[in-house]
Amino acid sequence: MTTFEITEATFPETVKQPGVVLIDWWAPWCAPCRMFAPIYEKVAARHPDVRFGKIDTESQPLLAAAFQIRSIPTLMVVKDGKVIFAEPGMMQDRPLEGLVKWATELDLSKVGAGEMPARPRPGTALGR
Amino acid sequence: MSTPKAHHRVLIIGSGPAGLTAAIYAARANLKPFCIEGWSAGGQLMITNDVENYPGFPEAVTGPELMKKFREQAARFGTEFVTADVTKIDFSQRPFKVWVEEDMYTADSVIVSTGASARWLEIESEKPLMGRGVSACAVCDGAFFKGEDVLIVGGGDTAMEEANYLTGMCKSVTIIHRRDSFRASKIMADRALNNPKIRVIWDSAIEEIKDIEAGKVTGAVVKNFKTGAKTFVEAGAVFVAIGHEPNTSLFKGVLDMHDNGYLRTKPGTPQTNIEGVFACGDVQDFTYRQAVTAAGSGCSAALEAERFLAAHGH
Repeated sequence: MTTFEITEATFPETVKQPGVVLIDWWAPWCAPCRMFAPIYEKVAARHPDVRFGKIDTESQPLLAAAFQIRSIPTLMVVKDGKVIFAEPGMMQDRPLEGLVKWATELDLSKVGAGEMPARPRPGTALGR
Repeated sequence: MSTPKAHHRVLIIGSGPAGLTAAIYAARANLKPFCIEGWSAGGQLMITNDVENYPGFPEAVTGPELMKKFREQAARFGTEFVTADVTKIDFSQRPFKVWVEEDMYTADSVIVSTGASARWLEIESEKPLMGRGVSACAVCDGAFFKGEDVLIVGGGDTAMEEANYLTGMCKSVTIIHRRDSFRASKIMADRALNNPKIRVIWDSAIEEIKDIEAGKVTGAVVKNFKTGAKTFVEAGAVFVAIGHEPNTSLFKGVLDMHDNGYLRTKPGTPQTNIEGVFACGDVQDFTYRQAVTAAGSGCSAALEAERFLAAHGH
C-alpha cells in the first residue's frame, strides 16, 4: 500500500506532520476518480518520501464539507500543515509528477500567510 | 533524443470500443497488435454508468465493466498494451513513427482511435467556478448538491441521463437547451420530459455563471435566442453536457480533417489520406458516436490494415 485513507479521526494528525501530503478527494461512484486511482498509486510508489492520502467524500462528509469539496476528484496538496494547492479534475502521470516536484521544492517561507503560492500549471485537468 | 523501441506491424492509438475491437481482430489475424491505450484508457465508456444499448447485454452493463471485457478479449489473443499518451507522430514515410515522450515506436500500419472528449461552455465565468459548482460529471458531483436547484446544459442523451440522475438527489433540475427540441433519442428525451422534477428552458444558453466573487455557483444568466430576453436562474450547480470534440491535435497538418476537426476518411472505409493509416471510432464519426458503431469501425480498420500489410508484403 503506497496510498492511505484519511478519516476525520486521522486528518488532524496527518496534516500536522511536517512535509508534503497529497490528498485525493474521491468517492466510489465517481468514474474519473476510478480512472485517476491507478495513476495516483503509480506516482505514489515512486515517492516513498511523500505521503499520498485519500479521502472518501461519501464516508467523510464532514471533511468534504469543511473543505468545500464540490467536485471530485479534487487533488489537494498540504505542506507543513498549509494547503498550497487544490484543483478539481483528474491529473495524468507527468503533470502529477510535476506537482509533487513543485510541492517538495517549494520554499514556504516565501509564501505569505493565507496566500496560495503561484504555480506553473502542470498540465490540463480532464473533466468527465 | 529518441530511444527506438520495438517495431510493430499494427500500432493502435487509443483503447475505447474502436481501438480494442481493432486490437481483437488484428490479434486474431496474428498481427500481434501493439496498443498505446492512453492515460484515459477505455475512453468515454469509463465514465458512463449504465450502457443499455450495447447488444448482448439485456440487463445493461456498466461502461467500465464492458471495457474491461473488451480489453481482456484483446489481451487474450496477444495484444500488447502500454498505458501512456502518444506525444508525437511522424507519418511522412514508412515505417511510421510514434512517440511516447522519449520512447519511439515504429509500425508498418497505424490505427487511430483516439476518440473524443467532453466539451465545455467556454465562457469566461466557467473556469473560475469549476469545482465550485461547475461540473461536467453529474454522477461524480451531484451528491454535493443534495436538495439544491441545479442546471444542466445540453440536449443529447448524456444531458438527459444526467438530468434524470440528478432528480434523485436535487430539489429541481432545469435543462437549458439552445434549440426547441432535443437531439437525444426519443426514449431518453421522453424520460426527462415526463419527469416532474425536470423543467426545460428552450432556445436558450447560459451567458454568465454567477458568482465568482462569492466563490461558488449561485445561478446563471440565461439568454433566450428568440426573444433576446435575459433572465437570472438561481441554482447551486451548473452541469455541462454539450457534447464532445475529437482528440485530433496530434494529427493537425498530417491527417485530413473536416472543418469541425474530426478526421476525414474515405467514405465507407476507415482509410485516411495516408496509405497505411486508418481511423475508427469517435475520432472520425460525428454522426452516430455509439459504442457499437465505434466497435464496428474498429473491426473495419483492422481488416483494412491486414489487407494493406498483405498487399505490401509486411
